[in-house]
Amino acid sequence: MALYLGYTLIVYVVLFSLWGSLEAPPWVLGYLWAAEALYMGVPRFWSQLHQEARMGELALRLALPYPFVLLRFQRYLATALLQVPWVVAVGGAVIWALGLPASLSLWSLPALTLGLILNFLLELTFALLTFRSTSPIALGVLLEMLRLLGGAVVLPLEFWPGSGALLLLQPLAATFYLPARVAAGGEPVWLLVTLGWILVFLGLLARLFPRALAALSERGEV
Amino acid sequence: MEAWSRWFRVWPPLLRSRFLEAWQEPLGFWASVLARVVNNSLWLLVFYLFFLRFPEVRGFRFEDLVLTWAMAFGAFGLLQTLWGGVLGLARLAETGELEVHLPVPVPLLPYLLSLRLQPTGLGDLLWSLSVLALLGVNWFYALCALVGASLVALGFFLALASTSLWGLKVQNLLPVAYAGLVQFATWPPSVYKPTIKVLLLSLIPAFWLGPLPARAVVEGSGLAALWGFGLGFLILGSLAFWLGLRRYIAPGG
Repeated sequence: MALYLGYTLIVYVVLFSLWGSLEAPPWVLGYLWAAEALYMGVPRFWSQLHQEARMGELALRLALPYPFVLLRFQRYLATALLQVPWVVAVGGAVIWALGLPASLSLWSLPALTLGLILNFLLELTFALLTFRSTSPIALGVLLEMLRLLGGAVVLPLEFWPGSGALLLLQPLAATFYLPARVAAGGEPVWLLVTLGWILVFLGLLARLFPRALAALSERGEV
Repeated sequence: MEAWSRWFRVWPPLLRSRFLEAWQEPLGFWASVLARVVNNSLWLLVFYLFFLRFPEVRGFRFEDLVLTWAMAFGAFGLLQTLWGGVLGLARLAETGELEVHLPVPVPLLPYLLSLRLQPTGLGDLLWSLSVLALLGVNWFYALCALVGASLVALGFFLALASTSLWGLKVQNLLPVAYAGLVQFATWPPSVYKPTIKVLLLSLIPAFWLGPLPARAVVEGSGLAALWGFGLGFLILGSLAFWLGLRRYIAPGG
């Protein structure tokens, strides 16, 4: 945990030093604070699921008398609820140490919670879609890059050409950008988009999950 | 002396065998190389968009950033390709596996450093060389600066990993230190407060990996200082290793 927070500290120092030295709109620092909290705080579990499938543990978990997805969500949420507040605290400490003006609105809590939920669904979908992958390291690098870019974690969409209108149409923006933007004083109604994507992914998972299990079953892994 | 001459005969086939090890799964190898190339290029795209909006960050422009990235990732790539074992040294010491390697008939330290070749490092190196070619830099300066910067990185990680020989548990710290160094070495150096700058020029030598080598390539000066600093760090790391090895007791033994 100390190492994880140490790395978070470095990321915040770099980001806030850069944006704090620019004449950027006042909400930007708050946005980066929230976006990084979400990005750094969410647990990554897709490769763990792959490993569990390979080792046969997934079969055991599926045999438990609880819904597998809810059980996984519970574990995810427990880790996230431990990590995200710590990351927020580290960000706040860096802001204070560098003497920068940044704040988060009261809407941060529901906004970050919705971001957490959507991220869980995205991660699970990604895991189910990539069970056949032979190069997990490469996939991991690309997924992180997609999160950073598509989620506009280091560069808010307002600074993209055409205000990043196209990027707004994809789910990563609803996972990171919109919740962080609301946390930094944006319109709370934007969270409806995140909510919409949550419903879309719930529907998608309902179809995908049985198919992924059938594919694993064919390979004798569940 | 004989051990060293033996080493220089053994090193090329050793590197070759590490490469073949990494090549065992060609698809995974190329995927790792390509992932780094794509990752670094996409980051540059983000910065390109950033610099469209803010053309200059305290005197630092997009061209400076591209060169800084090329130097930093070239140095890290060179490290992981030639001396990737340094990143696994702490694990060897902490698990006791180091004992297996102690009786080798070649100088121990360079042998241990050559124990690992990371395809991702090769991806970084290839990406860096491609960017340098696109930028049309002076190759003599660029290669000297790359080697100097990778010496700094090697010395830093060797010193850090050697503390495991003294009983400290640093195995898990190394990836974080690596990622942190990458962050500090690749973002505009002009934005930090003076205290952070001093830190990044000394204890955490990130400026010696990206911004200073980049400046050396443009101006053709500062290469001696870079090499001097790199060799100094390497001597420090080697000392930490040899002194640590004298008092090293493997777990359980």
